[in-house]
Amino acid sequence: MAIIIIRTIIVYFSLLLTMRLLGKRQLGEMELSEFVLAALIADLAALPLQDLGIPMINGLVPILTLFCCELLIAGVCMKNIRLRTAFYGKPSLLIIRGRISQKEMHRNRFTPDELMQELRNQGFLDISTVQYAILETDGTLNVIPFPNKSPVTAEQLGIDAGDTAYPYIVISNGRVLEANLKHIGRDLNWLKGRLKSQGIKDAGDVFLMTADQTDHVYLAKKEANDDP
Amino acid sequence: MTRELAAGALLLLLMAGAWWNIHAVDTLTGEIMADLDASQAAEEQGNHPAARAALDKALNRWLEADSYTHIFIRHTEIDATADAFYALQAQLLSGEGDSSAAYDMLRYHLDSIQRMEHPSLGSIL
Repeated sequence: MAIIIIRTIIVYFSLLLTMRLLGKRQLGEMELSEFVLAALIADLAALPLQDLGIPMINGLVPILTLFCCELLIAGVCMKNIRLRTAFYGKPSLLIIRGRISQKEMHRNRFTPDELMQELRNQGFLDISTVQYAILETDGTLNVIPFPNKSPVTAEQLGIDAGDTAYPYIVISNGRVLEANLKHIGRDLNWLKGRLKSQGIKDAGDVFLMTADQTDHVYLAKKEANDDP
Repeated sequence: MTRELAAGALLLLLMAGAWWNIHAVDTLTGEIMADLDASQAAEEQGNHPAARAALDKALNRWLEADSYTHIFIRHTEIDATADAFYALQAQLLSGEGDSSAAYDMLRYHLDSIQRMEHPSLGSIL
């Protein structure tokens, strides 16, 4: 058991270090320690299941140890910026004021093709429109265009865009979600009224209905079932 | 902060459990080894009933610890040790040939179980 704990801690920190050196590209929207945890836990959990000769505790102890390590590291990194940088790294500016930082590209093992691909993923076909491209610690690339290439906002146009409210699902596949009705300050009588105004007698005939506090409603009726 | 403290406490608890496990396996294998020594000494003096009785005592200790061994020790090791016990028991019952090799085999398995739980550079790496 002691050996399992020590081995788990060694493997965990070795993987953290290895993945840290490999760079952010490998992560795919997970923080480094989360990625390491995900990579290890799946295998550890499978071990006692695949081989009945291995005691269950040999699978559980390393999982608990990893869980503790992850919580402790996350807690320590919250308090200490230097440790956070050491464990998770820091965002890399791949494009600064429209200029590609080849040094950062090289450091993160990012090829020009991959940079272009990531920019296209974000909807930027022309690299000259990009002012900043930031490779975040979780491996995602955030792109900020030059102000004169940015989409115009309603504020810039002096238009009142009105208030937007969060639409809640009030009927899902014929089932009324009363808790969501309460969230928007409505009740079943209001719902019945809205359905009646649409020519619907029963909530069971509705596939999806959303509503928000500004009284904006979206409604989709159930399709007729043609099956015999 | 509470979660971090809980994680630290859990890690300490796991380490305490590991320490207890080392102590438990040391005690179990130590007691069985002592019974085996007594059995072998009796066998070498030609006192076969005493040798068999000491071995039975050791085997009973092993079997009584079944719930512990099955939780903490790999089942292949448990089976190998049980096989070595029964091989030695058969040898003593038959009263034929030299039983020292069978004693050594059983000691080897018990020693292996004991070493397996002790953290050392070799066992960790």
